[in-house]
Amino acid sequence: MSQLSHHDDNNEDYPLVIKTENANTVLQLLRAINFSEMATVIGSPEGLRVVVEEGKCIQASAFLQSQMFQEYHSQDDVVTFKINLNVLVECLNIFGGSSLPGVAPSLKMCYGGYGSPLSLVLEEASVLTDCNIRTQEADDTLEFNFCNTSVVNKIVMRSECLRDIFSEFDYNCCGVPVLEILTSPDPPYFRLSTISNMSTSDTDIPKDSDMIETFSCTKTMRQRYKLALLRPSIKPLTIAQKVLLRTDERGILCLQFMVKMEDNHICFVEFFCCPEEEEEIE
Amino acid sequence: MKCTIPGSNIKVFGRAIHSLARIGEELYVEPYPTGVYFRAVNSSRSAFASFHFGSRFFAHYNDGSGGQQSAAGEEAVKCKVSMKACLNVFKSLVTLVRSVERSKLFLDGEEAKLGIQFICKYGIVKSYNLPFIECETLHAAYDKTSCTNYIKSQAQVLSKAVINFQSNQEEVTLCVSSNKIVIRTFVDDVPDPGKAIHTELTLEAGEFDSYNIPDDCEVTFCLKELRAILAFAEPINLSVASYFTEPGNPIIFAVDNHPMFESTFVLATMAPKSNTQASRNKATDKHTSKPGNGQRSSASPSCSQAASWMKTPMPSTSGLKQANSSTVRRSEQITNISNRFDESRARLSSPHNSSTRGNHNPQLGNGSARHLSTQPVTHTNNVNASQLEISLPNLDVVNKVTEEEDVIPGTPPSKRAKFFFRRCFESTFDPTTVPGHDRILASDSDDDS
Repeated sequence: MSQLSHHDDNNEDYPLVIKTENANTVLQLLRAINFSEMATVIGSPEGLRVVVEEGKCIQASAFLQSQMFQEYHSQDDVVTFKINLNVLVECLNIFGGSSLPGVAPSLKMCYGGYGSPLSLVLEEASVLTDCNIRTQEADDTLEFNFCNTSVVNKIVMRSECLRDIFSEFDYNCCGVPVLEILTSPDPPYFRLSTISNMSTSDTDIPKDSDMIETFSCTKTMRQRYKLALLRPSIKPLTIAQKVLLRTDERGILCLQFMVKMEDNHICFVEFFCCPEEEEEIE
Repeated sequence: MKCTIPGSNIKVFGRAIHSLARIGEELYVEPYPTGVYFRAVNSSRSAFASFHFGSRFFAHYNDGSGGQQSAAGEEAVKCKVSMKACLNVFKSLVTLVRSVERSKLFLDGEEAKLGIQFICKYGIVKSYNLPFIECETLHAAYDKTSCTNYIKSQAQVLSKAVINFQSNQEEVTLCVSSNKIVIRTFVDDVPDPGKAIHTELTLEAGEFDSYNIPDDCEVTFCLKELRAILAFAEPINLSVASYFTEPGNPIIFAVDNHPMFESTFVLATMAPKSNTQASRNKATDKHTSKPGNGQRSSASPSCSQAASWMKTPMPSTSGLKQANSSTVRRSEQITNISNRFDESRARLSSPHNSSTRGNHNPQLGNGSARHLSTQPVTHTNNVNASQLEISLPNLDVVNKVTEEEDVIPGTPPSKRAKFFFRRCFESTFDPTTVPGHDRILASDSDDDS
């Protein structure tokens, strides 16, 4: 933190100030949810939540806990704004995002409150970059009302398991391919099926497989989701270590990805997806 | 049919599917007691690929012909499945090799589906169901043994040679002589052959494992299919044998790893230039009917012309039949002329410049052209054509073409037509500036409105 400290003058005036030695962790998480252009940033004393939505059907959010930053300062009340995530990711990657561990720019990010831009100061090898990204008034984010009490089935598994399966789907298949997720306390326990015009496929994962860490299903749930809507979950799957798959009584799917960062911090990315309407099946 | 592929053979099997997918849109599955054939043929029927996996390739094999007790005559179901769906199953070979322990394939005749099941690590089971259509055997008539020329080399030798050609190069010519082989690009139908990229490379006879060329010979065939077989053979370090006789007869590439598997690719070669007029007409017909901006089909028309050796259960396209009767030929010539007349008239009177080559003007050309060509050949068609010749003395280009047609029956190749009518394709060309554009020489014989 050499030159960045010069900018320390009036931190207290900003509703949101973040400093980190490693901007790549932020970059990595934001990239994982960058399936749509605009993102809503919600800053609270606990940390920063970046929410991306599409078509009122899917929502992905990355939670950057305050502990993963060297300095995290947020006013007591919640700060929200909307920002172009493509631009933010591009700015964070301005030094080219070296893949070597330990070589990463440091970042200071300030937000001056309603109407002001988000300013980023990135420094790598004494090269400073200032970026100002305009912000917009935040819209309400989708509220899935997904609470723990209504969760019916819960499976914790290693991410490779889902990654291989999800990456093999033929998303461009003609028609509207859907994925049916079956979770049940009885055989076949956990089955992912794709149904498209061309073919059908079933993938059975036994509940005692080494890939599955926890399997707790109380009720047989069979829900269909559009494959295209699930596609954005591949990105967080590739960086995650573990995945928690939950469905509630309404069939809403929640995938929670546990991502272990370079600096051993653990972050979470959440992905919600609405099921297809029952009437549409058959 | 039921069979089990051990994990060690998944990769080879997957590569075979990838290779077949480069040939055709449909995968034909034909089980026999000794093994199963997977076959594909391309849309213009100029390339045929066949993979045979012997029962030794599988950990377990049952062709399902009901060997034990049921009727002896009962044959195993033969079918075809969508190549795209099948390719998707084997999409990522890397993942398959990493995760799959063994794979089961079965044909379910009752539900008309091809089942593919992967038993993967960690107890994961993936099952795919591909609906199939029952069909007859796909069979290409060829005979390796009667081919006079035979060369065999490691797949690497050929693939290193082929890699030098541009990826969009469609055809290559293989020139063989007693001591060396020259592979060069085949350039045809290019307005300016001087501008096309020509690649030529020589392989000495010594580079081949077997070399038997009694007579010098030149065969031209599509590169795409050759690449498909090399992509299969190269990673497993097998040798590729080629059999061919003369231009116009198929060239056969074979990879043999008996008794595990063997594969044969049969490619049409271009017929020699001095072909019958009828076939030339056919070829050029095909050319002109293609939209100008459309993709070129994988095989050139003359390639598909030469593909008449292919016997398939599907209805063969008329382009494959040799039209030798002189009456047919003459009527074709005349329809050609009348088509041309319509085409040129459409261009002249069309208010906007049509930029698509060879497409009839939708307003004028199509209806009347169809009408003329289905009409029995009458005198009026010829009159129309000659009228055109007389009444448009200013248009030299039109004259030239019609004159040429008087001398050489049959249409010129489309590229040449484009050359002659070049001005019509220029964006600055305004048909209304052409003298006599508003004079209708012959009204539409068929009133569409």
